[in-house]
Amino acid sequence: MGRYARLYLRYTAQHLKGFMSYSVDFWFGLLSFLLNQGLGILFISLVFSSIPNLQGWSFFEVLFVYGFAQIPRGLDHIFFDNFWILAWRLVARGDFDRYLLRPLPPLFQLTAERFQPDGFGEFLVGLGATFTAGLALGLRPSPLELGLGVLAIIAGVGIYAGIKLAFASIAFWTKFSQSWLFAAYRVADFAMYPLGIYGKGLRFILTFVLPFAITAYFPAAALLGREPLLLGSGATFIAGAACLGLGYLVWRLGLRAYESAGS
Amino acid sequence: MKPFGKYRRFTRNSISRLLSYRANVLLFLFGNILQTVVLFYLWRAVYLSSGQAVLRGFGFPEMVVYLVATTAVLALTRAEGGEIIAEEIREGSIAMNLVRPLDYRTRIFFDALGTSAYNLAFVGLPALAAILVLKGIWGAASPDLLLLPFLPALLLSFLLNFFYDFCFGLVAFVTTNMWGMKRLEMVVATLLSGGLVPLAFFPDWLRGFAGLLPWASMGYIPVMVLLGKLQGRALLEAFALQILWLAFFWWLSGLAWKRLVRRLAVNGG
Amino acid sequence: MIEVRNLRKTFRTSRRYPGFRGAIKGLFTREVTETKAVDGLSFDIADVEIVGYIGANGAGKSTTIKMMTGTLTPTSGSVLVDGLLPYERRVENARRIGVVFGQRTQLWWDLPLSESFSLLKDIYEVGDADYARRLAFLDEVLGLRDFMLSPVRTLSLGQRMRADLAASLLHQPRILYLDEPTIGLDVVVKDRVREAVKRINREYGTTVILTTHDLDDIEELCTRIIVIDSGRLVWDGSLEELRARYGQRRELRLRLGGTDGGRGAEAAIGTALRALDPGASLGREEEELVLGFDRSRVGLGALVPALMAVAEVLDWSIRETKIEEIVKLIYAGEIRS
Repeated sequence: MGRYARLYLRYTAQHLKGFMSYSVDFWFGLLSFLLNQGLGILFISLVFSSIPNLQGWSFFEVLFVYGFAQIPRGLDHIFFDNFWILAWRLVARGDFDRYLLRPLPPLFQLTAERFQPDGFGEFLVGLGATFTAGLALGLRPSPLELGLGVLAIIAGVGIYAGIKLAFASIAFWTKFSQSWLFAAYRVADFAMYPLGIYGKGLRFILTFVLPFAITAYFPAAALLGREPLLLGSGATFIAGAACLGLGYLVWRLGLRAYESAGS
Repeated sequence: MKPFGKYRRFTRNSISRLLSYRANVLLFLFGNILQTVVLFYLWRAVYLSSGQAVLRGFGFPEMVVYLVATTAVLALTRAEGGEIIAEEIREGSIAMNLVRPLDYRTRIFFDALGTSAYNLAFVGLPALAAILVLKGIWGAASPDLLLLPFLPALLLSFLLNFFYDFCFGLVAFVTTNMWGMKRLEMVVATLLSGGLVPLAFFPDWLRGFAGLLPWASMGYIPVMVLLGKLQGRALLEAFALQILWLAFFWWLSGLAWKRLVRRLAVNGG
Repeated sequence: MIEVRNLRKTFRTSRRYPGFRGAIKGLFTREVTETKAVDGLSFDIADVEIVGYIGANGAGKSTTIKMMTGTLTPTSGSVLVDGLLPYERRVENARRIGVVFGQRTQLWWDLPLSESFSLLKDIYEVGDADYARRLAFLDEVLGLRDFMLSPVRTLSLGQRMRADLAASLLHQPRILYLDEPTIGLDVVVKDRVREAVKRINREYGTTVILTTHDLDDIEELCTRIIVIDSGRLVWDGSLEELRARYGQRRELRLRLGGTDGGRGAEAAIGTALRALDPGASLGREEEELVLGFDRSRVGLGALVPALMAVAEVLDWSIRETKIEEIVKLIYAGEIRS
């Protein structure tokens, strides 16, 4: 296990070194992500300039949920970005075989080979928004709440990573599954706002089918006292584990199909 | 002899290429629809919470039409021209195009036309259908839509977008990895073309300025024309602005292209 | 070392119909075809052999290699590499093999070569002393020092090939798979690569399996040739045997004068040709007359004047027989061993 940790760090270090050579574009990328997140916040504030509250949610409460949603999303972006490459290029260009020729589990190689600092944009914006909103609302979470919040975030990363892996693995069958990932991420966008604004059908999908709501809404609402704490944290653990499990299952099935059909 | 005979092939190829990725395309479309759906729910909540029927000059039905129309217009006008160019520059195949007896800009234009024809069928028509359905549901409350001035505005937007995109594609010649910049441009364009909120919702100090920028001419103006919010003199001014930007980017693309050709001739591709 | 028994691989591919109409039809249905890429292969490869694995494009070479390296599972039959099934015990197998693709690199695109090597050292768990020793050896044999610090994407094809070869050997694999290793390289680098492979085989006892279209590769390196066509074994023997039978064939193309394009002189040419080489062949391809003859039986010095004596030769060109043609000849001669 320790060997894998060490190897992961080596991969990351190497990747960052290679990354430095594209520095200008890196800043553009980071800027664009920051701006993208900033736009979300801008949108909320623009909208709130015309209304007192959003179905009972104040501006800062909405901001809190939004910010909280960005945190696991950003973390997932930092560590698991290579899944996009699987969906888009690795199978289509036959570059995936490289992983099969090395004496390491291919999933480990896939994950380790890309460490994406742009994700920090989302992460930092999310953190900033959450803290600002929390302060403005005068939130004082107990250590228990704080701990559960952090765990919920980690589980949230698991939800994103698992779903991403599942959809990316579709590329093993179709060579190109970027569109699936894209669609899945657009569904994730729903999770950034209070669940109450959506119809029943959507709420169901966001909670039980593609449980993105569990990455953000439930834990955040729990911290705001609007949903029970147990639900907020317990749900994330279950959903996180389920998504990771499902994602891994699809990956293995896809891998087997790939080894049978070649490239 | 059919006009543009040799160019029509590019349009057909473009459509063929897009059709071959059936599931992918549908999913991308679905994803875009989802984005609009999120906004729909958000705005519905906003209107419900505001207790007002009209916000900044938009009634709720108008807002919904706005959302659908903006998504459709942006999809229709944002062709792939720039990406095709950037790709060809990166792969070096752009030099090949100078040898062929085709005007490069025209060829790319027809490529883009293919993408747009495709989008017209798969984005435009569904959007139109959606709006018609909505109108049926709303009945008397549905907003009046002015199709007649909308069409030229849309056409101008398409042309403007094409030349703007063309210039952007040529920038790939200067920077090797365009990805970050492209993303940045997308974010800025979405905001300033009214893709996120109508420009009417911008704070006063920004609204006027944003309205003059090219992105407003690409996305916002056609939709506003459709909703009948720009009439009479305002309409003429809007057209003039679109034409102005179109002329500018048309000129800029020609300039950039000449520079590129010269550079290729000197460096040998 | 390697035992291939009745190996079979069938692919199912779906294609869309061609053309514009086809593209629209493609929204609803696709054409499905079954291809037998490998159809009952059996052979053995012993330790320390250098085997040339040749065949025309699409004959099934890469498919076999993929099954041997563990990246593809067979439809039926088996491949045993050093006692284990590569597609079932993939990681273990990966530790013992090195693979070099001519077309694609195994290295990290943006990293300097030294960093790629160092990362591989960790992945393959190569000890410090071994690593230093092997790197020194590989540098001596392949001359890597000059571009050790350059990112792989900046390397020329020749440098990249050498780098890939070195990378595949850092962990001292028992078997080395080389897929078109000299393709696109200039003569000097080709030579270097070949020398390196020979030395490695000699000094480290590495078994080498080489797929190539380059006859010289085979000539320089291989002790044994396996020819495969349409997924089936067509020849398995030593280089000498192959050379003795087919390597001496040359193709002479003639452009004849006369209003009939020289067609009237064909019979005379045929007679003259067969007088010198009874096994020679004669055929026509549009405006050219194509003669196939055995170089060891008759040299150009004797052949050309003999032909010019019976016909008006306007122009002529000479070609070595290509691998594909040797394969076809073998197939036509139905030589199996």
